[in-house]
Amino acid sequence: MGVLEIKGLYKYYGKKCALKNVNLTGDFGEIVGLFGPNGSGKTTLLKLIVGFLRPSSGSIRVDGKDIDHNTRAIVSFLPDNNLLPLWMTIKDAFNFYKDFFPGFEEKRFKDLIDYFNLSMNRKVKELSKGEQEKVCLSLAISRKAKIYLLDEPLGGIDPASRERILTGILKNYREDSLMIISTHLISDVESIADRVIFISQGEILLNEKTEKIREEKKMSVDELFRKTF
Amino acid sequence: MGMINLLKYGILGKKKYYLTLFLSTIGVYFILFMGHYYFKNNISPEFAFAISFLVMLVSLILNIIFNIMSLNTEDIRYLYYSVPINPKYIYLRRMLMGLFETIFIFLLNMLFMTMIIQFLNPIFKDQLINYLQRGGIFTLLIYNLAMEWIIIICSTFVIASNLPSEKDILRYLLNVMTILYLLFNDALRSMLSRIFPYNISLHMPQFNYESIITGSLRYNINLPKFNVNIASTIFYILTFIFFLVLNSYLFEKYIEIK
Repeated sequence: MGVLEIKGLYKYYGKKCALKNVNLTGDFGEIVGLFGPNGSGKTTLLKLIVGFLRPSSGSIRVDGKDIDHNTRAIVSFLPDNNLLPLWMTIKDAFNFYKDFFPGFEEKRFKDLIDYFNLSMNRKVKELSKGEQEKVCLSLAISRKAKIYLLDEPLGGIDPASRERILTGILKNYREDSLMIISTHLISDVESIADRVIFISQGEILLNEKTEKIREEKKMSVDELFRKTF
Repeated sequence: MGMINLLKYGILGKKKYYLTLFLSTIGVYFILFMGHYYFKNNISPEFAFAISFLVMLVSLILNIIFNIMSLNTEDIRYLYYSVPINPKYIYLRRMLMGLFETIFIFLLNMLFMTMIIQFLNPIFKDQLINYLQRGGIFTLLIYNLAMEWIIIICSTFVIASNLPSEKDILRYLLNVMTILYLLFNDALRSMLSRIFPYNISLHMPQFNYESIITGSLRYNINLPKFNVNIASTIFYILTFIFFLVLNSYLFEKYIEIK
């Protein structure tokens, strides 16, 4: 049994079907790349796993439990935009996570903030978009969770910083967790992904080990993506 | 512990708001006080009371609006919904904050109003203490609860707007129910009073705004006999609880973070 099990998942927005019959499992120790064009259903899928959205039909089980507020303790989500209120400083955000999330690793967070050359006293509203993303990423990966969902962690980040962020993610990755990284910047992420999922118009088109794709298709995941879409 | 932390961050997030509220209230009373000297003692206690009442009313209305807005812009957002706490507590936290803030605004204005009117009319403080001792404190409490009632009812519209798109019918029903309730609440209560004409007599002091600004304060704090209809009061309390429970339930079971 995987830490994440999705069966027959459908999600409708009004009459529009955002996800069609999604079946997925995820195990500990995996980094999964979730790739798809804009509007393919990547963010919807992640929001359903964390419990921000509710399935129209089908089931999602996290660590053997149905999604509710309790499962949020073991699912760490990084949204594709800033989640922190603008009144906060980085220190306030740090205290917030420390107060609400058991097992939040203070040292890991402080190390990450140093690594990204940020200071704890800076206000969220004074940070650039890229800096806000770095703070949110540091908060998300400093939590002790069983599933990490990173939605576009490299969106809005310059190419030089992307390398730094990916190194930060890899350095802090826990073997006893599942990490799903959703992005359309495939070439940046494919090197760290153990498995890739292609999603388009709400349907899973491909769910395969990265190595197997390279061996069988004789091309990189990025090349396969460009060929597929 | 979770609720205490929610309240803690709710208060921290509104530090500037509380400071602005406090300073602007002081500012208005300071201007009133200075005006008294500028107009060479021509400001009457009645005028001061009217201004105090107006400041309090504006603050209370703004407070209702800010709380409803915070529900939409802060509570139904990623951060609070990420925490492993039953979402109904996020809603109840906002309602509690609304109540505390209403009481804070009341007390702040009462304090300054007493100070300034006492200065203009030296018997005011005694009258006010007398008024509070004779049950006026309950009248003020009821006014506070009425403000909280508005926040709870209005929050239903915000919650309805954050329901999933496949719950269109529920959203529509919630909006219609709340509008109908707001429109016909008074008529319903009078109807209940007529059907079940059982009253209890209370001696609840009134703050008669009309007569206070036109007459003398000296004669306006009285203890008229108050007939409280049992059926309409029960209806009022039940709808208060109904909307609170309904909104908490919707917050927990249906809301989506888009």
